[in-house]
Amino acid sequence: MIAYIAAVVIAAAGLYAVLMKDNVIKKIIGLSLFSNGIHLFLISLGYREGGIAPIMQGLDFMRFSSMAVDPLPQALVLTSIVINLSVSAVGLSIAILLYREFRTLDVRKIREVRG
Amino acid sequence: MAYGFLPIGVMLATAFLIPIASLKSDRHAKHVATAGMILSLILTATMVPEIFSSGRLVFQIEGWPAPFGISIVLDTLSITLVFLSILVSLLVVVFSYKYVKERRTKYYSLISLSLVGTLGMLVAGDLFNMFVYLEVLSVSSYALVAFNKDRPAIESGIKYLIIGSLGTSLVLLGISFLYGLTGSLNLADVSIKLLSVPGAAAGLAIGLIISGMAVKAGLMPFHAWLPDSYQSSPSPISAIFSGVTANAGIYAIMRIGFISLMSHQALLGLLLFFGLLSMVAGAFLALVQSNLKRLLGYSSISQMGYIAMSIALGTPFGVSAGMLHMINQAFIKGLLFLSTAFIVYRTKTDNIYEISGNFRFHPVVAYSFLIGSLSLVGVPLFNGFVSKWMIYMATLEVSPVLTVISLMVTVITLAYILKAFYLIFLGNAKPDPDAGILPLSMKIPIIILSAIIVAMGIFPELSIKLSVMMFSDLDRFAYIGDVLK
Repeated sequence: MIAYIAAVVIAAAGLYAVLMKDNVIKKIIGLSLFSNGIHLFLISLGYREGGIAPIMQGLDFMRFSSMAVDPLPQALVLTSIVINLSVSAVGLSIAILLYREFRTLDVRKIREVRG
Repeated sequence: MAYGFLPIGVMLATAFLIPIASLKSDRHAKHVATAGMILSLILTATMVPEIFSSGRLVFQIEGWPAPFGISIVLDTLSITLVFLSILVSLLVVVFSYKYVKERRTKYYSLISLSLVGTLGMLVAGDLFNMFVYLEVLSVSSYALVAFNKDRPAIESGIKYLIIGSLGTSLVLLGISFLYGLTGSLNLADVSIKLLSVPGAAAGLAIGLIISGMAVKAGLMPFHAWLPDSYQSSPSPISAIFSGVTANAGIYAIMRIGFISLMSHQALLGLLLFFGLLSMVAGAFLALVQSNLKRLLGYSSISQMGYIAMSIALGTPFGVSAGMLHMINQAFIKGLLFLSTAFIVYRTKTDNIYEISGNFRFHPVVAYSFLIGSLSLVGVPLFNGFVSKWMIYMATLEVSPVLTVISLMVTVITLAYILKAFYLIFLGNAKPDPDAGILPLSMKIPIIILSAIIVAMGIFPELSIKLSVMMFSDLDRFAYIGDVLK
């Protein structure tokens, strides 16, 4: 249960940073936090108190299915962490370009494109 | 055909062959990209007869049966969009030969990667693969928007990155809800298990996924990135965004929405709201733009609104009309954006009022832009008419109010696109020594797209038949039966 609460708190903090902070770097950190909250939620779905690693060798099926944790969310979260890393990398490299061009990271001062 | 869907592999190989091939100089980047896309187009074309005769091809990767392995599902709907995406990307690549002069390696490599993402989304049979390919598409799109590295491009790039990543995170959240509810990720398996899940919980999960995908499609409450990105990215890229990427978003909305919760009224209502809002507000905002690319961007939002609205009608006729409009839009917007790209290439500006009266253009560009505009409005003899007529008829069956709104938006469409056409092409009398400029590599894609638009408008039976077949692919229980065997 505590994991779900933590997931909601982390995701909410991330969402707050993305929506309310004016600094681009903070927004990118917020994006990371938001997806990490979702990752924690996803991994908690497959967690089981006192569970064993999902290796079936030497166990009969009933015991396996009642004890093992669900391995699928872990695989998903690993994939998603890698994706998240690449998004952060692209985001931060654009932020570097942004700072070079505008000399600021404050989104309120970056308003060139308009109709 | 045990290899699954080869074009994805081909395009992935192409994307990474391009940097290797251009280690010494980037002269050959465009040739590698073109060769890869032609090969994928041929590979796709060889699969078409089999799919049209058998209805649906399902590959299980490495032979693992459906709920456990990864399924690749090819039916009329996805193969049509796959073919369309590769075709539009190929034409954009050919067009870019003369347009892109520097950092060509990255440009063609990123276009190939974004095509990989689109193709993967179109053929994926499970939710998580769809998400991974969505991210492949997104990350390469962020880089493409910021490609010019000037101030507007960087600003739009970071804007798109933040909004787009929030959208994809929402998709991931929706997918994890669905996994928690059903314990499965395979679309067909999820679909069966959702039958015994309370409607509100499943509706929340699907609603999150639809909202996330709507960011990609550019529907109205999630559209803030779109006009800026279209305005600041290299012009041919806008053709890819509105002809390929947006369709992938709409496809995902349709596939996930219809396979899992076709009868859920609240979701259709949500989509109808997004659609109507995009349609009306997009058209009004397009009317006041002075930047040609931004105008076409708002026009894309408006047309995506038409598509979302007619899909949200939920009737067979309405959904087919939406799907046909999606195909037609890819060609129309492709043509308009490529003509615009030529205008920008020639004039070095995209402000309509600066262009007006100062330049003369090659007649091929003028006529192509006219064909694109008339088709966008929905004038008979062009393909836009066919799908718009179907949309009017479909809305009339459900509620005449929607028909009136669609017709009014069409009038506004006529106003904004003819304003642009008039100011750019008719507003000058000055002789212009450069009026004859139109490189062959730009002429060919424009002529091909115009020819397709006119041909699909004069012979509509084929495309209407195709859209009806595509609708039948959305049938939930047939899909489950084919995938799970």
